[in-house]
Amino acid sequence: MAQDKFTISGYLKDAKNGEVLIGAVVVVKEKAVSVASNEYGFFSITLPQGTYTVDVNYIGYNASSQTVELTKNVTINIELKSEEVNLQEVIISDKKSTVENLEMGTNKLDIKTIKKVPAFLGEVDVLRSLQTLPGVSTVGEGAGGFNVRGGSIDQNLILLDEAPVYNSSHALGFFSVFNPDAVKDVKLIKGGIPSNYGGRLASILDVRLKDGNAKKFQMDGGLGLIFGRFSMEAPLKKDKSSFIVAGRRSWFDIFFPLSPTLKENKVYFYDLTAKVNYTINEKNRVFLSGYFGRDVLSFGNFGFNWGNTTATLRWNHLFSSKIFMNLTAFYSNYDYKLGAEASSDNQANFSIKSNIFNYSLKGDFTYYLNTKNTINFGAQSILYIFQPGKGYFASNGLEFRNELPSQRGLESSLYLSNEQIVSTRLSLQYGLRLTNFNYGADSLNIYADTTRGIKKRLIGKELFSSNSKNTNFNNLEPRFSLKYTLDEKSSIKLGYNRMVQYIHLLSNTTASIPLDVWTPSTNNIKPQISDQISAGYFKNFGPNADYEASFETYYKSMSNQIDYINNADLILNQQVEGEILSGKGRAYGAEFYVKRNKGKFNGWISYTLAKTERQVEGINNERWYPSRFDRRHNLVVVAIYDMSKRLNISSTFTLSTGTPATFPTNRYEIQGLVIPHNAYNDRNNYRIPSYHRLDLAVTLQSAGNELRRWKGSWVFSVYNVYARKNPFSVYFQQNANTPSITEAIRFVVVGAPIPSIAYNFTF
Amino acid sequence: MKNILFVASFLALILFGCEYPQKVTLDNGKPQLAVDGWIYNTPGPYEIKLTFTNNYFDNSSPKVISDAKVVIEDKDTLGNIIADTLVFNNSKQAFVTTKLNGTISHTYTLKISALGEEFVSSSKLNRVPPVDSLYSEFEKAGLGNDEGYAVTFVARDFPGRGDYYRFKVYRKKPADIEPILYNKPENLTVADDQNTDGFDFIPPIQFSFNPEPYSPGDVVTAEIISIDRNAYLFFDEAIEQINNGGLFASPPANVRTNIYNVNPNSSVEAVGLFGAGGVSRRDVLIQK
Repeated sequence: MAQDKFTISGYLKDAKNGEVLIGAVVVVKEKAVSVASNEYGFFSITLPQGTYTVDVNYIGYNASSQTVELTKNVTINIELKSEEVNLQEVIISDKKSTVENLEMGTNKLDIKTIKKVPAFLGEVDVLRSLQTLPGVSTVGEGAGGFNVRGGSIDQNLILLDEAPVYNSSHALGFFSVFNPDAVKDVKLIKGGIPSNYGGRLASILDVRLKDGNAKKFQMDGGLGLIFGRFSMEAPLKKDKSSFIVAGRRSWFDIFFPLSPTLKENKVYFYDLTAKVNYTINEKNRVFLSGYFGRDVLSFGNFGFNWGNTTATLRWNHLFSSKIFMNLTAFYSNYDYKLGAEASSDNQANFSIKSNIFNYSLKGDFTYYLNTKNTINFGAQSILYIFQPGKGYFASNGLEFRNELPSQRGLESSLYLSNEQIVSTRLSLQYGLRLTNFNYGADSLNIYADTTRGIKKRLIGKELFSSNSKNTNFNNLEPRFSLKYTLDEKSSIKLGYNRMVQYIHLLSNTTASIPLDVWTPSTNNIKPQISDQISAGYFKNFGPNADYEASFETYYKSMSNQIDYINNADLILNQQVEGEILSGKGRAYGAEFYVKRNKGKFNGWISYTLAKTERQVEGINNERWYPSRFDRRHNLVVVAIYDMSKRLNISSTFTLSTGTPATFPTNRYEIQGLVIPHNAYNDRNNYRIPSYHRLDLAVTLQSAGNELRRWKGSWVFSVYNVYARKNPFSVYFQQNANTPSITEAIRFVVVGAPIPSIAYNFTF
Repeated sequence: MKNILFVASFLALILFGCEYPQKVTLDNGKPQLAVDGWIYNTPGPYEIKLTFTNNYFDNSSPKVISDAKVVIEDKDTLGNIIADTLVFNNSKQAFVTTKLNGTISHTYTLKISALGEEFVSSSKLNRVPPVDSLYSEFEKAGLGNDEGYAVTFVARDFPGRGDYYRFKVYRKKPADIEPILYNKPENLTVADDQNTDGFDFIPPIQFSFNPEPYSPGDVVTAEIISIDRNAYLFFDEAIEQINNGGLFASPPANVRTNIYNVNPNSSVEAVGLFGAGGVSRRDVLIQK
């Protein structure tokens, strides 16, 4: 006899501030089924008529349990109370434990955890704390961006409320653009990437902003050595609408006017993050969020500034209690400008500008079909407009403009996937993503394919038309992951994903610079494609399953990887495509991760054994060579000790193999200058010394009544405690005093212990 | 455009970072023929130096090759060729010309028979603009410069793209016998006119004439050398390779050469640069 089925659906929120809970687990005891809340806190379960006990669990929150009489569709909105009495409680996110979750190659960091990890100059940093996770590394201290599983920095899709961020750093690479006071949730997906994400090869970093306190007015802020921060959030209409506005600015430049040598200079950076949401009714909610950040450097009349702007408008709509839709429209722009202004004694001036604009519309649907199948589908279109460079030069009344033609790209995608619970042991997620990229420009450059490794010769231009060859690309991206539960405390997972990347960052320096420009795939640059397989073993152990461990391995093969001819010139170059080489890449590794979530003494250890290589025609005599950011071993230990409710101590230790570098074998003299030379044309034939560093931090809450609204805390930290002079690079030069002597130099970015102090408050 | 990268890296370097000696054991490479020689439109004789490359940390003078045949052909604009067979000069440890006079618009072809191989290179001696003026002023200390006298250099690129230049600055202090060329890696300065055709030479070229503050009594000489595209590319790459530190270093790579083995299939390759250049210069005496 067919039984009537009904749906229990609703939203999960934090009782204190009304923020939705992402990934909280709803369990129906009688049926032993569970579902996690989505990014907007929504869940839906369809069950036969009956009476059920619905439990909601979320680490760090008191569990909730209620009885539901299911005779019709039921909406229950549940608010969970945070367990913590004050900020001192230990909460390391991971809502559904990784053993139970179908996700693999995925790490989540709760902003509360991020705030406890010792930070450079005391500035809490989302990106730097990601580097404590397995599979994530960086080419060196102060370098912008991060490398995931052997991918270059432009192979990470960094999303801030779904809008891509093209340069995630302030001050070159020292601080990330995410204001910790405004961030709610950070998720990094390295493998088994679900089909709703696409566009980059290596990873997805999904950063979600807070919605703003829906219950009461709240202020947060702080003053560290670099930033002054302030944020405000409040309900506009209680439980219906709220907002958050958060700003940061570096402040050390206020001392510049005091110094005769610095007063002409400017060095500062700032960002503003804001979001507002409105719940129209049970079925509709809208969100508007935005980010604006800028770095400004100027020395005398020479100036340089860059920054990102993003805006996201979202509409959550429930077609029924089983179909959830999120519609997103976003705008993103990264631009830089540099130049010299004419002054009285200097008649010359120049400026260079560059932009990348994105406009996108995207719809994501979740259909909670039944307890066994959850279907996701959606579509997205992104319009890219590239202004790779506009140069203006003037001197004594003469002017010259060197403007690179603008380029367009339209990236469209469709996806469909299903999360299927096959049995109590086996769960699958499988899907397909179909992508199309259409390149457009006024004209296409045609290059002769000349000698390997030599700049390609431009042989002609062709007017662009819709029939132009090699400007339209289609790809099918299969995604698959599987979880097999071994027992209550352990599971194995397998994953495969194909990723395609249509836009590329042109950068041939060790650390990426803000001047680097993005280019679309063109008739001369093919889309990058990667295939990754990964397998993992996940286990919880210890009394009360205090410890959570994972072991994952991956193999990735990549095609159409971008490299450059020797001494390539990538800025304001009309024929930049002629300097680009295309090659293959491969990366493989093993990642170990153990984390203790509970107790006074907690933290995690991550160790990565990895290798990443390239093979490019014209480089290294066509042999495979390690990528510039290849690190064989990478160990990070994060230890946090909560001594009392007021005091906690944390430390981070990092140890990793030095990055590869190209060293010369010989030298010769030209006009009295000594030129280094590698007689065998090798690339990355040496390794610089290994990197290790210890950081410490102590957080002290101000004493006083726990009921007092003003809560302050002091953070004392020391970065690079034992003053290791970690090499960023090793390079070769003539001795400054005796130019006939050649020597090797270790370039160190931070070679001393850096103490810092910061005060943070919440009201 | 790479100049801009240097400014950016310089800014980064003064903000962050320090340098320490690093112990490194390097592989020894096979020795190769290195060529270093120029023809100018100033009176000869001109020198061509042939040496073997040294191992990188070998600071001894490179081993000179004297048993070679070196010929330079001087071709005028009508196609008439004069060949000059160079002779090895023991005191200069180089091959020297016997009769050539460097002339603007002539093309010079270097032919070398050495190590059982034949090498060839050629370079055109291009027009060079005059240094219109050079004068000195007192400058106060600022970020990156100390207090002292600085010179201002005024000269203008020829209209029409495709000119390339190297700039040199010499200083003769009252006690010096000869002007001394500033010839550290950071002093090497070249320019093209791709974005600045017909312009006065602007920063950062301007800065290169002031590697340090001057004192009253010094004679400062500013020199423009017109070079051809190959020499420009050689120097442009060399600048990157010999000043390649900091956060934004580009991948170390061999600097190109314009010395080619006549037999393209031979595994014996040469390195270095043969160039022809037009010279113009102006002096200024630094006065209080």
